[in-house]
Amino acid sequence: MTESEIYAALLAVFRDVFDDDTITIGPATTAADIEGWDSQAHVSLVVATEMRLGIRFRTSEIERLSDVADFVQLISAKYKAS
Amino acid sequence: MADAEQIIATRTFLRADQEVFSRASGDLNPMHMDAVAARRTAAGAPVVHGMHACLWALEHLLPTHDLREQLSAAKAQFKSFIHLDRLVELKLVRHEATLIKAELIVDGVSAVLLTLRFGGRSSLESLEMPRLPGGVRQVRVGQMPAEPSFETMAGLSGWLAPTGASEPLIYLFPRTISALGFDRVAALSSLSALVGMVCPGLHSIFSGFSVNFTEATGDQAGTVFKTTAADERFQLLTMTIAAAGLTGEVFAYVRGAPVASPSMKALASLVRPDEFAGIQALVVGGTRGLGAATAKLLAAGGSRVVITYASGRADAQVLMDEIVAARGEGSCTATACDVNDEIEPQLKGRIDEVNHLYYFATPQIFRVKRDLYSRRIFDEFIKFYVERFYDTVRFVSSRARTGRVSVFYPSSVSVESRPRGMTEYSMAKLAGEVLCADLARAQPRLHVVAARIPRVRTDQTASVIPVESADATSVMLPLIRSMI
Repeated sequence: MTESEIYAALLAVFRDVFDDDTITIGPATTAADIEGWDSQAHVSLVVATEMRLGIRFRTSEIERLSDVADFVQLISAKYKAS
Repeated sequence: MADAEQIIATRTFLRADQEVFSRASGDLNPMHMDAVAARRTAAGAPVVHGMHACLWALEHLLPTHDLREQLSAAKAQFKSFIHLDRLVELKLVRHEATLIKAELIVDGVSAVLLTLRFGGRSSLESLEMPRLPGGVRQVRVGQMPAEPSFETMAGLSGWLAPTGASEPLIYLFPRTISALGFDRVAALSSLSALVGMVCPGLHSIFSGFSVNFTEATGDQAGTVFKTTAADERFQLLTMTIAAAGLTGEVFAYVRGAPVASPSMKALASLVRPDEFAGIQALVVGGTRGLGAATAKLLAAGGSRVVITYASGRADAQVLMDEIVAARGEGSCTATACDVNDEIEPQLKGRIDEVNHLYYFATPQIFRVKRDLYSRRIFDEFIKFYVERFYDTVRFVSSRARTGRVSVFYPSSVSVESRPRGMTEYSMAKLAGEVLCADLARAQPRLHVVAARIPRVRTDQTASVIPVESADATSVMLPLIRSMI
């Protein structure tokens, strides 16, 4: 999966979780940039991403995520490892 | 249609309201009803039933809409707790012919997000809805919530008999019942009991639901439920539900049980039995978390300990009994002291001379807030971490006839790491450190230790996403030793 494909998939996840078709994301996007991105929304994002992409994250991996770029990097690593 | 982006209703939920909805729904979870039990949860105090808040919102939203189209689906996300006696605003965010989006707001922060869709309803026959086969286990809600293990919850299914009473439901939600029908409203209400009393039960946090309203209500009462996903990483459950007039999913977290302090037997292996002999310690806020661990460590090492409590008298009694059983009569006493009030009148005449003070009094640490800085929240932290701390130190040192008085002040690593949302807390802790330094300089017989403690797993710090947390005993033992 290419990086742009990962971003596209994540964008769909974000828009679905936040129920907002106007949301945009970039590498530097963090929780501070999206209203309602709290810990519960974070869990929803993780779970929805797993279901959409058929991957699974470890708790330690989730704890280290600080922005969308980290998330994309993690997903990319998962695909390369599989 | 009502205009979007306007507040269409406000209210506060009172204790009496909790009791009515509990009767209506059958959800008697102590998180909603019991102040002492609720203080040992992340909410810190009793909170409104999420479903109550939703149904109240529907009472005001449905009359704003042209109901030629029926309500066909409802989705709710419970974002943050709604505490009693706080003003709740119902804001209409979006209003279209087939869609309503609304928000319940407390102190400027979104507590509930609600999405209602209007249109045709599915017929009963067109849905794969579980019926009531003879093999489905019947579940009845009693007076106490169940406390199943996560493993049990993951495989749980059954038929929940109708919960609650009809009269309070009709009293509370007449317009919603008129629009949806009694069976559908009763079914929604019973989801509160499903989560709060059955699965997850006692240690539950209702996260949200998504339901489709069906055409026929059928001839069966109650709710069929089945856990379809159980994520152990987040302790998150998903349950499929079907009841008269609706089907859908319910989402709930399993919050941790109140954090227990280690046993006196376990602590006895960490300290010498006379290591802290001669110490007369006052532990303010000593019934749980860091305070409880400290009280037990001191007692295990031979100290005589007085613990104070604000509202946790039962917790204080349990702790005191455990210490006395291990170390003998007189090794521990407990006295009430609410740091919200003046210190001296509460402690005068109740404690003997003290040569060690450990001050752990704290309000709710983690706050959901809209703005970066809140004067109100800062004032509350300053009251606890600076003003009452100073008052307690003065009280103790004024009664110490001779010798050194050791004082422990628990600052926090947040002063350096500055986590988001904790500006006021970090500011107040830093102010406390400055006070500690100046106290030590002004009163040479005071030995003041102000330590920046890492995040420790306590009732307050429990979170949805697992966060690395230290153990209270391993944090406090070296600090206690540094006080000698």
